[in-house]
Amino acid sequence: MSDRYWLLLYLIAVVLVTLVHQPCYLLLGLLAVMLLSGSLRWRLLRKALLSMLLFNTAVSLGYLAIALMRDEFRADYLLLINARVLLLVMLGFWLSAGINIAKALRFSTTLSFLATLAAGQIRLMSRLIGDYRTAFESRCVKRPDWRERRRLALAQTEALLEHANHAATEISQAMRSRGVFDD
Amino acid sequence: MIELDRVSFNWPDGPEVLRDLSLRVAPGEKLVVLGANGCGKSTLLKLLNGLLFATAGSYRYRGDPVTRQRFRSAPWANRFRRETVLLFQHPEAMLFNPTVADEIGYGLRQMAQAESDGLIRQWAERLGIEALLENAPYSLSGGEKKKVALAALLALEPQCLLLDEPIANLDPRSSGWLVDHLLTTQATVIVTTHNLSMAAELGERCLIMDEQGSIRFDGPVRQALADMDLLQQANLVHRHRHRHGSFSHSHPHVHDWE
Amino acid sequence: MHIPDGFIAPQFYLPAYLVAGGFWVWASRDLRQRLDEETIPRLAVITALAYVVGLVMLPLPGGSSGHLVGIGILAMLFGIRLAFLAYSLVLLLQALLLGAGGMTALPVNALAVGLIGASVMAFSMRWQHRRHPLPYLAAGAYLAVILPALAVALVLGLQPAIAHREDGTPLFFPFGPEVVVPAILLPHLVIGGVEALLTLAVWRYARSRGWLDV
Repeated sequence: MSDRYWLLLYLIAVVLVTLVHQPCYLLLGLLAVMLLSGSLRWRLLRKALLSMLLFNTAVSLGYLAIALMRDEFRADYLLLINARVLLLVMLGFWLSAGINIAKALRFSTTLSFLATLAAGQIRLMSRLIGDYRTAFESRCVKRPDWRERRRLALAQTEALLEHANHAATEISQAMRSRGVFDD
Repeated sequence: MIELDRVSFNWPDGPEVLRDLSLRVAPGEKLVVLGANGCGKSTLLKLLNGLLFATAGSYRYRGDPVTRQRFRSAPWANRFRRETVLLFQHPEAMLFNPTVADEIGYGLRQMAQAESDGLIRQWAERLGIEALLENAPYSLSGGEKKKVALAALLALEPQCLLLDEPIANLDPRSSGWLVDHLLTTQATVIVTTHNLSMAAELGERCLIMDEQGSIRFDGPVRQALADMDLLQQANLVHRHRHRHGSFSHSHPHVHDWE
Repeated sequence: MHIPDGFIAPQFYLPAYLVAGGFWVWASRDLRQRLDEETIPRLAVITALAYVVGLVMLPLPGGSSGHLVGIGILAMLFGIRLAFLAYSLVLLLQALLLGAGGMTALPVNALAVGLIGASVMAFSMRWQHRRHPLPYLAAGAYLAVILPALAVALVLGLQPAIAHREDGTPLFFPFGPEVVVPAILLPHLVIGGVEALLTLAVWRYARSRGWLDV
């Protein structure tokens, strides 16, 4: 099946998951993803749990406290919301691990070019930001104060803008050089 | 094939990057452009590829003046783009297709080339990237990206190859393959580098640019590489002190060429 | 301030897609139909920028830090339409490429941060005082953080009223606006201040590089 159909299937699955309000069906869905995702399953599960940990813990604990106070506590709500989010996040990671997104967007040349170029630039710029951060850590002899950290944030932002400006020109020239814009 | 007549280039409100360059390159000739960082080598290649335009002087390709207006004629522009290709110094700018196979086949498909699948595989094998054909170009390493970009350009069988620092980032096997390919191709090849051993292997003729963007030397590679004063003035070799036992002296050094 | 996947009811996110879709059409109307040699690279790079700006750590007083929102900076440099499109594309790439963020929250995040945030900043740029622009820009950058945060909080706060069981148990996000608005808004009152300071510094820099038509 082509990447485009996987994308479509994923989108349908997402809507279906949000239409189901019985925790047991969502848990069945999770089981199905675990079974079908093969060797990826434990990595997907770990990644999904980590990525939802902060927000879901905060919401769950908040609900627990407020519902107990108002005497409205329902355990199946906690199960429902956590199972649904886990299933959605796992589906998302599974899709992104399995398909080439730019290929799935190939129905629109513009969107596919945009996705490829943006994904490439995201990697380059993330590396730039990472380098700035580690270089700053490595050069700090003592704990940096607020002013120094603000200067770092500014330097990073300026470096990103400079990079973006340069990259836009280079990409434009490279695409022209390869005949993209000639009719 | 290529004629530059007293060409200068500067960015709007910027300093002159290229100054008064005159150059003729015959079909099939191999030319190495040497120069230190920032001397205008990349700008020269972009100008030869019709991406930038001279602010003074003229550039002719096969006798036709290469100007902004000229590119408005679609047949001429298409022919030029098919015949003259440029490998960018940072090849990620060139990669915009979803997979490596799409990337290599991009130009072929534009030319409605039959059997493009076979050609894609063939060029991927030559550059040792056949295992990456279904991968997304942005997920590759720097060297792999360069090979994909090279395969995409070479698959078009261009008549004029402009290569900006082509062996930087390439592993020894691939750079060896590339040098062999460039030596045997019928195409005109213009390569920029500051790697003197590449120059010695590749070219019969070399151009040395100085840090002001002018041509300092145009002649046989061997003659240029034997002229230490010239190389030193163009910032291609450096002088430093070193020791032989208890005796210490200083002289210019070429570390990547013997 | 992003809403994660799974907390918005389909009764809300499906119509939100329709609204966002209308604005996407409006925003891309300016971009030419044909592949354009300026627009595609520029939009791709701004999209990457919109993503990566969020990785810059914003130093908060007291040694902690938050993430830069960056929509004010994007709108200041590129205008509402490009900033909104780039921001929406980032959300799409995050959802599909990195499996983060999610498709159910996308239209709300795009409208709240991408559209409201960018519009506030762009209006403050348009109405800035010729001789004393700084207070206008600072207010714009501050509100470009606060108003989207408020919108996100209100959307979340609406969920228990929109989707619940017969006995009143929520089906999606559990808290009403009285809980979620202060919880989200209060930290952003500080984040917005630091972001405004940084935006002003970037504005000075951008002006010195000639990127702004001021």
